[in-house]
Formats: sequence, structure tokens, C-alpha cells
Amino acid sequence: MLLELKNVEVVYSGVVQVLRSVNIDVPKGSVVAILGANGAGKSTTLKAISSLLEIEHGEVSDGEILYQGKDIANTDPADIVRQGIVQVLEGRKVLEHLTVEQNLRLGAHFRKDRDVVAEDVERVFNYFPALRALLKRTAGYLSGGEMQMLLVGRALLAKPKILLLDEPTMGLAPLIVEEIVSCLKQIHAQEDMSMIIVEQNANAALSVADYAYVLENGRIVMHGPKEELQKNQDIQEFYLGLSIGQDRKSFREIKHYKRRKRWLG
Amino acid sequence: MIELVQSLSSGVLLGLLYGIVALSFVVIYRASRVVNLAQGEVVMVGAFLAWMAASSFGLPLYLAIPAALAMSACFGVIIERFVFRPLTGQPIFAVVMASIGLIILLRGATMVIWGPATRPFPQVFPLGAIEIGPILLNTALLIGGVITIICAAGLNWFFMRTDAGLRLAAVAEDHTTALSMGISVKKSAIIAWVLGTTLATVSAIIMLSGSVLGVTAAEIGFRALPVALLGGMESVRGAVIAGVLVGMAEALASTYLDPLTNGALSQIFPFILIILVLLIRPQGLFGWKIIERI
Amino acid sequence: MLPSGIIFKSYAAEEAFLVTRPQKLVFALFIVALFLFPMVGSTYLVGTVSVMMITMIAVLGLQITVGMAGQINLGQSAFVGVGAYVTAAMAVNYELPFWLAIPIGGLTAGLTSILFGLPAARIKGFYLALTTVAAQVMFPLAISRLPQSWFGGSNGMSMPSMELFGYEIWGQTGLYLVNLCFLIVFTTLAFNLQRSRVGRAFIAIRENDVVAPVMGINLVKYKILAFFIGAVFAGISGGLYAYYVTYVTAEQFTLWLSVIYLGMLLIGGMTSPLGAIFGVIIITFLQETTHEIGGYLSGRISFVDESVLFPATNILLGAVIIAVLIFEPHGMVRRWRIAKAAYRIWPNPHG
Repeated sequence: MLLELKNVEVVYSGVVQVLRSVNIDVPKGSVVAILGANGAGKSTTLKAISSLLEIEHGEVSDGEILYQGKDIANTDPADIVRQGIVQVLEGRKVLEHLTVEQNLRLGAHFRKDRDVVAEDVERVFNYFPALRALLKRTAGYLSGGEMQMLLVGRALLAKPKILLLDEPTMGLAPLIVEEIVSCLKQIHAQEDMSMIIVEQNANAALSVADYAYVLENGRIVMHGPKEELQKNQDIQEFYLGLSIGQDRKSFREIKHYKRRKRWLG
Repeated sequence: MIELVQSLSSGVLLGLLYGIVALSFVVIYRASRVVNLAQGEVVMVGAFLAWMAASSFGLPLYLAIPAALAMSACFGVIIERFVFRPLTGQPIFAVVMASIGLIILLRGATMVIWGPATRPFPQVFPLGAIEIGPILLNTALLIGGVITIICAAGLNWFFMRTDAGLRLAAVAEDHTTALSMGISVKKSAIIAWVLGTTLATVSAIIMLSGSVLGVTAAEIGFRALPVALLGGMESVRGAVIAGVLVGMAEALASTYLDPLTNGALSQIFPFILIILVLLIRPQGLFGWKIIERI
Repeated sequence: MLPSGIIFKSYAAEEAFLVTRPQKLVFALFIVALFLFPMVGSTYLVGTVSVMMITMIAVLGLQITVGMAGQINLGQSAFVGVGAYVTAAMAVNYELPFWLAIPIGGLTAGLTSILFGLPAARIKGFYLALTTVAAQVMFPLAISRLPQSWFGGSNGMSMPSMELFGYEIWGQTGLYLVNLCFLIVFTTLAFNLQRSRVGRAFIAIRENDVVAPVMGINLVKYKILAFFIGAVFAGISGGLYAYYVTYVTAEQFTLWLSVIYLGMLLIGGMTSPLGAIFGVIIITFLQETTHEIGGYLSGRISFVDESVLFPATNILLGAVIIAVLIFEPHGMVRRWRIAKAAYRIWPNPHG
């Protein structure tokens, strides 16, 4: 197992418990999706792995995050990146006043193997040909899709063993979403790395992932291989927008659905 | 004509002095997003440290100056560690307010440690003036100006071309993003403060060489802050260019306008100029344009 | 936190500061006690409290600009100075009574601040603070270079004493009462501003000046208004100060004083006018205490004398400001509220 979350609990400001006993396994080479509603604790899970909670006054208060058998919970985020866990934050956080080139270069800022970095940059251009023409542009003025490509490219340059993607398709047009998804598939096929994808867009996430977890209110309420989840009625209704009968259900009806109540209890 | 050239060239030299103090503002701001209003006081403390190394310890100048720079680097680390690091993640507003607390604290501490009396500052650069044709240039300021330009070029290269410099820029943009890329925010802040305080000490030595040192040395801070704002708080070359512009404006005003206004305009004129420029370019001449999204 | 059993029937009732009868009673007694204070306090103490009240008005104004509207103002003492000088000019050159001269001083200070608030049309955030530094730099230069017949040039101006209905108001007690009346009026204004439309607009701008205009708040107008109101308070404070010290010079209104005003506001708490009042009390108390202790020590320990005392106070003050920002960014006001809540639910633990 490359990465293992064991009974992880996260508390913000010493009072707000966001994750309760979360268990997630990421085998080497797999793509794991984490689904869930807003506020379910998906981003918090990723930030716990990357140790980015401190700046938001949070911490992993219980449990272990084992990476290659070593507990990395609450350690220095800089070390975690150097060990190969790289996160693409939600909200397309490019370094907006720097150029695309400088952004990419910073992705590999800690690497000593300069000549290999140059090759890696070429590989990134192969995945995202659009970036090559934008090298000298200020990153803050890119379009949403271009920014997301830049971010994934920047993360790749850190030579990740696990790539954490927090809502990579948020706020993007359907066509761009498809493009990003196919790029992610391609990257997974060609690079030797695992991924964790956090998504609202369950369709997009499940098309890349081979295993998925569903988070509700800070707990894992369901998990399984993608085919199994795609067949599950609850998942179909809550996340994929499909319904059992002929008529589609409105959000309001679904929200008060009895089964969902059982989950939350 | 000679009067004009003379006044312009003295203005440029004075402007370069403003420029190096403004640089120390910029360096701290770039990596930690702290507008350190107490920068004038930092210059003052740097000056007293240099004076202490040369006069109290009796070190020869070639040892006293490195000693002063080393002490001011430690001073920077202390400020970062005990004042600004605990405020990481607080709104910018709180950080600016902390620098106001620092103004009061550092003035008080300086007066207690070294006393309020003025004292002669060691003469680091040769006194007098260099004659170039009919133009007279203050030697200390001339050497200082060269140092400013070297420092600026070095810093510009550091921020734009080196990984360490780019890391500082990343931290300046957003702490969480920087952390997610494996950049240590703490280390960057320390580097920024060490650079900022040592630069301040360098500027103190240029400003005071062979002159008189007292707590009034801190006034340079609020004269250089507008320069840093004019150049753009993020821009190294902006600080130097803005310094030269303001220095020239001040010199011209004092030569041609002061006789008419009883000596008032030369001090106000730079402010008016700067406010006018900011009205047209709110981010300063070379600063980062704020990319606002709601 | 209120005693139990209180139900509000209207928004106005909910917004009221004094709800229960005991609260009203205690408050009325407190005001009466303030008026009677000069009868029991020593002349020195009454004078100190007088200066405190004058300072409070300036810091209340600063609370509006900085605390409520979120615009950093590093030139409050310049506006205090404008108020003092204009009041002096009105009283000396035009022989106006104090109750006209002081408000004119206040208004002039406000109008002056508009000049420095105008760049708000384009300049945002911290850059705006620069214009207030400019005000602070320009003030003494302007005073000394303007014609001597206006403001006495660099000599300063001597003040006549206050007169009301032909009677001269004199002595610490008389000045104390006048200052108290002004303080009551302006404290009431400050507290009420906070819950008015204007106050809410200020708070919206403070919280997010990108979103505020989207909510229909005219950013430029309200920013300038924030400077104006803050400066009117400063001007009034300056006018009272001029009458109190009987002699105004430009050296009384320095950048340093502006910094101290901000320090007072920070320690008290920026988000409420109460913070301004607390801050002035706490810092004055701190200064007076270190003075007392220093006076006691100076005869006994060799290196302690006047030259160490004043800066030592500043070390303390600076350290307190930084400590407050780190450990209690909401200032003493929040501690006060916690204490009040703890008192009300006593003996149950508060937490």
C-alpha cells in the first residue's frame, strides 16, 4: 500500500471536528476518487495528507497517515512534497503575478537534476501543448482551463508518486472538463504514479478512477471499485443525477431522502 | 544651466539613497507581505549597531561593518520570529498595526540602550565632493549610489533568476499555495527579513557616514516609504527608479520653487508627485497589478 | 449576553444599548458620577482625566476611520492640529466664543481630510495610508509658511479662556466639565453611527472592499465620508486641546502622536467605540504608573532617570501592542465582553 489513512480525525481550532475516523487506502499505481457534498470534508482529507492544515489552524488529532509505511501526519509540508506527495489545490491557485515559465520552474524548485527537469518540461508540453505558446504570459491572465493545465503541469514537475487533485474540473466548461479528464487518463497511463481525485463532478471522477470513497459529514459512508459504485442506486441518485424510475428527482426530494438520513445518522 | 545639472545630479544621488531604503521595504514586502512601517526604525537600529561595532567595540572599519551587518541579520531574525511569525495568517491590517507597535518599541529600546544623545558616526566613505567639470558630487552619496545600483541588480537577479528568489515570490503570492508546492514559508520569511535588515544597515551607513547619529535617523523611513509605493511594493528596479525620480523632483523643487514658497515645497512636492502618479497607476510604476476576482 | 427573560418585540429594541432598568439606572449614576468627579478628585487627577477625554474624542474618530471603515489613517494628529489651529484662529482673530470656534475647527479639519481622502477614487488599500502620511508631513510646513496673521506662523498661538454667557470658564474643573459634555455628545454619535446605514456601509467596506460596491455601496463616497467623520472628531479634540493647553504650536501634533493614537485604538479594540475609550484609559494608566514607579526608583537606582523613563514606557507600550495583536486581536473590548458574560451567568462556568 502506497498511502494509507487509518482512523484519521481532523479538528480545526481545537473545537470543530471535520473528519471522523476516515480510512482510505491508495495502492501503488491506482486512481482513487473521493466524492461527497460541499463541506463533507474532501478538501480537508487532502490537506491532512499534504499537512496543509496548520495554516488554517487545524490538525490531525487522531489516527495515522502512512506513506510507504511511515506516519507523515502533521509533519513539515515541504518534506511531504519532496517525498513525492504533490497536491493541486482547489480554486486554481496559480502564482498569478509570475509567468507560466516561472510557475513551471517553481514546480521543480527543489530538484537538483536540472537536465532531467528539462526533459520533464517537454513531457508536460506533450500532455498540454497549449502551454508551450503561453510560456511568457502572466499566469493570472490565463483562462480557467489553461490555469488548470498549468497547475497539473507544475505538479508533475515535482515528480510526484501520488498526485492529489482537489476539484480539477470546478467551474470549467463541459468540453474543457472532458479535455482535462482525458489528459489525466493519459498521464496516469504513461507516468508511474497514483492519484487521488476529489470531485463534485462524480461522472468525471469515476471515469478516471478505479476505486472510490464517498464522504458524508466527515465519515466514509461507502466505498468500492468504480463499477460497483456506478451500479449503486444511492450513488446514481445522489451523485450521478440518474434515478430508478423514469422521472428524474429534484434536488429537494433527494435531499430529504430517507436513505440519506440513514447515512447521516 | 549648470545650476540645473548640479541640482539634478545631487537629486539623483539623494534619490539613490531613498532607493536603497525603499529596496529594504520591497525585499521584506515581497516575501512576507508585510508593509513594515517601522523600517525607518530598523535603519536607525542598524545605524546604532554599526556605531556600536566601530566605536564601542573599537573594531577597525573593515571588521566593524561585517560585524554590524551580521548583528542586523540576527536582529531581522528576532523581529521575524517574535513579532511577525506569530501573526502569520492574520489579516494584513493586523500586520501593519504590529509594525506600528514595533515603531514605538524600537524607539523606546534604542533610547534606553544607547541613550537619547546624538553622537558622531564613523566616517566610512571619504568626505568632501568629487568635481566633474563644474559639477560637485558628494563622495559618500556617490559611492552609496553605486552600492545601491549593485544591490538592486543583485536582488533583481536573485528574485527573477534563482530558485530561492522565485520561492520568495511564491510565498508572497499565497502561503497555502507555496506550502502545497513544498516551499517553506518560515524559511522564506527569515530570508526576507535578514535581507531587509542588512540592506537597512547598509543604507544607514551610506546615509550617516561621517555625520551625526541620533534617533532622528529613523525619519528616513517615512521619506522612503512613498518611494517604495511609487515604484511598486513588489518591484526591485521600481524602488531604484522611483528613488531617482523623487530625488530629482525634490532637488528641482528646492532649487526653483523653494525661494518662492519660503522653503516649503521641496518637502511636500514628492508627496504630491507620488499621489498624482498613484492616481494614474494605483499599483505604482512597476508593482504587481492586483488581479481582482469576486 | 443579557439577563434571562428578555424578549425583543422590535428591531429597534434589539439594537438598544441599555435594555433593563438596572442597566439604565447604573448608566445614569455613572454619568452623574462623572459630573461630580471634580469635587472629589485632586487637581492633578482632574487635569489628567480632562486630557484623557480630549484624547478619547480623537481616538473615537480614528475608530470610525480605521476600525469601522478599515482605512488606515496615519495622520490623525495632523487633523487634531488643524482643529486646534483653526479654533485658535477663530477665537483670537475673530473673537468667536468657544462653542462656535470648536465646531468650526472640527468642520475645517473634516474638510481638510476630504482633500486627502479624494485619492480614494483610484487608490486602494494600503496605498491610501500614504496620503495620510502626506497630511502629517504637510501640516507643520503649512502652518509655519502660511501668513503669520493667520496662524501665528512658527511662533504658535496663545488662546483666550472660554466664556459662556459672560462668565469665564476657568480652572481644571471648568475645563473638565466642558470636555465631559463634548465627550458625551461625541461618544453618543460614535455609538449610534455604528448601527446606522452609514456605519453598516463602513463595516461592509472594511470586510471586503471588492464586494461592497457590488452590494450597491458607493466606495469612493463612503471612504471619503469615513475620513471626514474621523477628522471632524479629531478637529473637535484639537479645539478642546487648544483651550486646555492655552498655547498651540505645530510641534504638538506629530506623526508620533498619530502612531500612539493607533496604539491606543489597537489595545482597546478596533471594532467598537468602547475600544477607543478603553484604549485611552489603559494607555494613560500605563504611562502614569510607569511615571510613578520611575519617580520612586529614580532616587534609589543610579541609572534610572528621566531620560530612561519615557523610552521605557514606550518599550512597554510597543510590546503591549504587539502582544495584544498576537494574543487578543480583538482588543480589550472582547475581554470586557467575556468578563461581562461570565459575571451574568455566574456561578455557572463560562466557556
